[in-house]
Amino acid sequence: MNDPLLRLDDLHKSFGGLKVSAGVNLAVRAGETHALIGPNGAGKTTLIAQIAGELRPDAGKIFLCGRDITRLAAHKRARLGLGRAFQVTSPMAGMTVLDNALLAVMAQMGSPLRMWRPVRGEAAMVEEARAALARVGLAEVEEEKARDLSHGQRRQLELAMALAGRPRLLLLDEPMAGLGPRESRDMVDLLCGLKDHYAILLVEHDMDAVFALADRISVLVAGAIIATGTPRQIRADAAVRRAYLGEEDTPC
Amino acid sequence: MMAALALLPLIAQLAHQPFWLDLATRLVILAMAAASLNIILGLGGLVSFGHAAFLGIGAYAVGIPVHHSIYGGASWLASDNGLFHFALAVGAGALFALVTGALSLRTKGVHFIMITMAFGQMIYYLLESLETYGGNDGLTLDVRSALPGIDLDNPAQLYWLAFVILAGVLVMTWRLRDARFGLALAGARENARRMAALGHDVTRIRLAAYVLAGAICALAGALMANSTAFITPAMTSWPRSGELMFMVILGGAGRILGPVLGAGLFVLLEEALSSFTTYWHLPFGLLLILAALWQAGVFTTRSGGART
Ligand SMILES: Nc1ncnc2c1ncn2[C@@H]1O[C@H](COP(=O)(O)OP(=O)(O)O)[C@@H](O)[C@H]1O
Ligand SMILES: [Mg+2]
Repeated sequence: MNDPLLRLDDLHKSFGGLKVSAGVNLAVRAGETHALIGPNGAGKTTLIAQIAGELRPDAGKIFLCGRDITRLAAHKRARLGLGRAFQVTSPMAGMTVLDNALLAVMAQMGSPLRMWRPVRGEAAMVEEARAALARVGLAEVEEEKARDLSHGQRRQLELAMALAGRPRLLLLDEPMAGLGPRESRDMVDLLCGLKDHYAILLVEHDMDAVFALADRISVLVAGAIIATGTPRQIRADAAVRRAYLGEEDTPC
Repeated sequence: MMAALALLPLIAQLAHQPFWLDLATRLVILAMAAASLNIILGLGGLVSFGHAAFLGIGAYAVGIPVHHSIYGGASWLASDNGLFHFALAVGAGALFALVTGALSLRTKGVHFIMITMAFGQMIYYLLESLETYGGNDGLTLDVRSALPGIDLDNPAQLYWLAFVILAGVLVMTWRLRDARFGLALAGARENARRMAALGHDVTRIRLAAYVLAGAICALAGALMANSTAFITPAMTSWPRSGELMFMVILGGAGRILGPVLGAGLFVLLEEALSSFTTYWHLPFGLLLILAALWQAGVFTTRSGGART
């Protein structure tokens, strides 16, 4: 049988007495956009951090293309094709937009220990970094410092950096957070364009965006997945309605 | 500034001020040590407080072989060959940096400052315990390193050699800053967590910088031994490390010519204060500690991860 792209097998993680992952099972198939929804504090970001390798699960296993990556360091997972965009945007603030994208490309392109040739003279790398910036609409501002960008632009840069590494799986943690209605719509359009090319695990609160983008949805409540299915199935699921969708009008 | 330094031996000779050449030699060698620290502290943002250890390692890499070449013993090590001395200095500096860097780079912030300082003090106490090489009293270099075509007993020639190596180190720093390595170091300084998420092995990148800096500083130490012809464990004590930090910060951390400016100010300040009072060490030390604390404070807010 075909392995899914990403498989989480009974992940457990606690902070002191607080269980943030209480036996999470989840599979992301090749090519699909899989949304992970759940109330604030459900443990979504913590789960992404475990997948990306920044946090170690207390128990359970993580497989990427059938390979056990549970104990692999974060940077090695990134090189295996995990591209992560953080919930709290965190580009290298004091560096230019292009340098940020270059660092993303460089991570996948071999040795960072070259000490003589200027990076800006490495045409293939610069081209690839510019292409990633152009994809998200940041070509115009490539020489600006990341810290001088608007919030929306920083979210775009976050995405460009995840894309520049040519990932097999994009981990997007609330890409719409803090965006105005217009910027949100642009971001949804952008993700629509990406979804045919990448497998995506999308954490998002914006339900319109989730139902527009997701092929499948998993619902995380108090550290456990209470339902997985197509958008239609999730909408109809009584447990989900009770636990989550019913609270739609309270802001998260 | 570099042009003025290049012409200095001529100026000193014309002005009949051989003392100027002594000062300038000290300046150039200290600038080289500071330039090496600038790679980790300035470009990498890592506050290493034990850098003077490498000066001592380089100096004893000259002193110990010379000692044995005159007084016998340890024939495998005895040599007055300068190429051997310099190679030994660079090799020992790189090796010490590799081992201590691999350990200290597991820590962050204040812990990194403390552990690098501890490794520096370790070298200090180790050298102090070597009775064969004078222990606490140090070691007089009875002959200088023998080099083909260069006579290090001639102060002007020693100066030229140091100057050319310094220029080489500065050109190298300039090139590597704009190369992949410099970009990666800057990225790790700005946000190590994000770098790892991109696929960068941050520890490896920093360790490479640490080893490079250690090797260069040890070479500066080997030149310093030849310049003063007298070496003591005190070269490696933590106030000396603080002085190197002071030079880097004063000159502007991360700026290519900053270490030269910083070393220049340091040497002048040292001269000025010591002519005012024999107790110049006290105000000077206070100044240095203030500068170091300031940098440490900047470091902790920079790496505190509180930015959004
Ligand atoms: N490093 C940490 N230490 C202690 N508690 C944490 C830590 N990170 C997250 N938490 C807690 O774990 C819970 C889940 O957080 P998170 O995964 O960020 O939720 P979500 O992304 O679903 O909103 C929250 O109650 C949060 O306060
Ligand atoms: Mg979250």
